[in-house]
Amino acid sequence: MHANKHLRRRASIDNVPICIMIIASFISFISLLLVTLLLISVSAFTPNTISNSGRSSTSIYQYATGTQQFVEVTDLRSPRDVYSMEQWAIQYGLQKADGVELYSTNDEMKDYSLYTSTGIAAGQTALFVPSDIVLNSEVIAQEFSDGSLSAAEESLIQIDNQARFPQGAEYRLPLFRLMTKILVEYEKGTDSMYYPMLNSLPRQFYNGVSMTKVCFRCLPPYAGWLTQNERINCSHFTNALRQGYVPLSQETIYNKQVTQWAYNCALTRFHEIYSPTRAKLIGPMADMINHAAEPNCEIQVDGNGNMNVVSLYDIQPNEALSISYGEPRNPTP
Amino acid sequence: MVCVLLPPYDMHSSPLFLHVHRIFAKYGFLPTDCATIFCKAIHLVDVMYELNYDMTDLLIQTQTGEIAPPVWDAFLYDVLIKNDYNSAQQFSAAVKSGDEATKQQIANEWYPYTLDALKTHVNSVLDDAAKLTKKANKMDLAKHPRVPVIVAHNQLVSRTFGMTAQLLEQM
Repeated sequence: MHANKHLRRRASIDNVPICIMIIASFISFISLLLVTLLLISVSAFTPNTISNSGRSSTSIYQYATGTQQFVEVTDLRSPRDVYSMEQWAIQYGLQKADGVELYSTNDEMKDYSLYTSTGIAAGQTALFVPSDIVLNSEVIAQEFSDGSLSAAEESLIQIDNQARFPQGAEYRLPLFRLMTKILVEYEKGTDSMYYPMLNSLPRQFYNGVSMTKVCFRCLPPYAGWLTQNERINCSHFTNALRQGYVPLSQETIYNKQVTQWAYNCALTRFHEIYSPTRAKLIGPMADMINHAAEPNCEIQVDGNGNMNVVSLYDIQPNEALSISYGEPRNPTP
Repeated sequence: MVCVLLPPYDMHSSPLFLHVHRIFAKYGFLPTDCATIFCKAIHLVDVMYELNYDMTDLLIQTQTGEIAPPVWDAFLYDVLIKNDYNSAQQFSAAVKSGDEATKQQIANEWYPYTLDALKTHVNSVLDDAAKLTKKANKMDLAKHPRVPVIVAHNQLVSRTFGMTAQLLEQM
């Protein structure tokens, strides 16, 4: 049987034209060469420690990505990557007037803002932020079409009612939506399209939410009340999320540092609009402009949700862009 | 402990008014170029709303210590409520209708009491600010990195109300 098989194979080989054999041999040689090159390249870029075992290689790979996957918010010293955010935003269509640049306002590189190196004429758009990368509380409400967000909002209203803040809960829903969105995107880690934006946000805050009981005891009653109020708001938002309606992991919503960070980012970086509906928006880079009592810019939002930072008057070269953090009255109280 | 239930503050802000205490609570910094601060009479919140005022009306100038007229109205109305109910009703109606003549007449009549109530409040705020600043300065900056902004806030209060106290003494 074996001899016959061998003979049949020998015969079949003899019947194949010589040119086909040459092509087949060439393909085999090329395949062998490619496999060899691949093996060489893998060994060249793989550390010796993980080349011995496929399993250990996978474990280390997972660990490596795990440490880099989420925005590091628990370490207050972790750096803000504002320049990667800028590149990311430009890829999505963000436009800056000539000379508008980021700069750090302190030595510790914790605070950034924008300035113009060349000057900007009155009425000129200094910064255009397309709606695609703007976090918009109205859009967020539509994104959660499964009802999970509205269920969490109902929980928040109940929590506020129990705490005797009956008028406040619904008014604060836009802020709640922003905080929720930030947490949802935070959980996606580098898979989130907003990762560069989240990774550019501050880690340390000095506002009421961040203050301790000792801090409150050093403030006069009115300032103490206002600052504690922010802390209570954050606590109510977090408790509403802990009801489990919005798909967030336990690790996230029970991590106080993460929830406080998300609340603080939403609270300190939004721009509010009242038309066509009241909404709060966070626009990358536009959210970095600092406050001035006499600002040289204002933020305008068009009907499509694009944000424009427009100069109010001629801005001189090397002058920082500024807006007012003053709170305009709600026209529909 | 007095529990003061205030409405959500977002609903009581004036057009483009910069509320320094809210900025402080919300952003964690103190706008040093602010022109006014709240008079800190949170014990008069009910009175304030009865007169159709809100916190953005009850102000003190940071550069001069000057007291805004609605602050005088609120302190006077509180004095009237405690001492003369009929005059209180008259005064409230005059404030709401803009009847300046009636307002002025009642204000003149009760001026010493209003002035006294204001002095008491201002001196109380000054005492508190001094004690709280002293307490804050004892805190370890490494453990409490927000101390500088807290101290800055309290010093702004001390500076402004100090000027107000001097103005009241001259009256």
